[in-house]
Amino acid sequence: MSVFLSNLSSPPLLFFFLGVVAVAVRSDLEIPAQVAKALSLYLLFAIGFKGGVALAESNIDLGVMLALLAAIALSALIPVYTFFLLRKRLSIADAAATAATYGSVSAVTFVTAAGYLDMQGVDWSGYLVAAMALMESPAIIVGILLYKRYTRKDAASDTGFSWKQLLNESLFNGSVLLIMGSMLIGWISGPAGMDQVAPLVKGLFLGLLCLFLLDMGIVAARRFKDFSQSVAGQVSGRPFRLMLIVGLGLPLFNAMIGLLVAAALGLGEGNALLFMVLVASGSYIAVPAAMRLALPEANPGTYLTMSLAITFPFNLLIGIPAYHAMIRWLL
Amino acid sequence: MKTCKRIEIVVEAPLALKLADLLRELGAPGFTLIPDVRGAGDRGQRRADELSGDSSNSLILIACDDQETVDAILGAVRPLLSRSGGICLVSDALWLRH
Repeated sequence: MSVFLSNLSSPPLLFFFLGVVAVAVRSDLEIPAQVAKALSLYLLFAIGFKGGVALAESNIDLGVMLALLAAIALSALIPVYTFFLLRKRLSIADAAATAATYGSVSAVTFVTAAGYLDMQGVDWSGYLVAAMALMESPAIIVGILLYKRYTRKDAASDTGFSWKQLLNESLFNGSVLLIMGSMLIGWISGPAGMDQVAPLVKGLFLGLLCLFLLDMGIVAARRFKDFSQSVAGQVSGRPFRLMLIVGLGLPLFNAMIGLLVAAALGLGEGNALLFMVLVASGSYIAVPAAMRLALPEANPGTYLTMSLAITFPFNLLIGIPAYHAMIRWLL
Repeated sequence: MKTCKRIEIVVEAPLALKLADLLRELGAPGFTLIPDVRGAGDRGQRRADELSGDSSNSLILIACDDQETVDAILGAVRPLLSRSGGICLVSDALWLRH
């Protein structure tokens, strides 16, 4: 119980609630989109840099390589069973986009979990940041392959879709490139480099995470409001109960798989939690950007709503402390 | 004042960039692209408030006085819209040439 309370009373989470409250009381409070974008760039830069420095301080041994391979394998595997679970219940395009969404990771959930561990004083390793960056592309590619394989042939012969463009988008998407680049720079510059940028990378991290989560609270609450209004019948045509069940059930199921793999790999407390969060979260930055380009038939109202309005708040409020409690109990 | 067709297209933001390239190829005299437009329709609310612009649409405005080019543009826009949703309006307009 104490992990839940300390999670809920941490400043970032309380600011997330403030964002939710702002929407509930119809306040005009909002973080301008460009500022929110700058905050997210800062967080990716800071977490990438921290991860790179941590990598420089540790050895890249067999265990690390195995964990990275497991992360890549899971991000390719999760879309497959997600797709087959959903293909009869959603359109093929929506099923494929949802599959890719859940195979990929939510950088914001990861950053929040890392902040949670820092506040709890639990160590975690830099290579998990690399795992996060590596898990974006396989899910996108598997999602598109599944769509191509199971859609009607005439629908697949489409207008100007190119693998080159998709690979470019999934490998060099702005957020992926920034994480990988910051990590590489942190790795090259090492602890000496960290001393130089520590006030920005470490000192401001939690404070800016608060502001960022305020914005995420506003955005997620708006999405949820749209979603529940459509449940009330104002917009029809989306399978609401399914979205709710998948949005809550899939992260839990994936987290259990993550827990098993983390146990098999012998990961420590902090690393196991981050690994579970990576496996349990769904992307709402890199994947939707790639899907809208490669698979515009898929409706963002389905896959984005699930990952942003249902799974993300669930992981943030309940998931992270619950996974942590499970790890403490089991490992 | 010269008569022309005014074409307005609302489309998913990433497809708008593709469409802009296409318009150049089709010989459109020019176009205006307004990014981050929002609204609601078949695909629910589009609030244009997310980090990666996941719910952003773009508005493209074209004035064209050549019917062949107009037809070519509409032919190219239809398959894009049928995949992704969106709207395309064509109206008669007067063009203040300067």
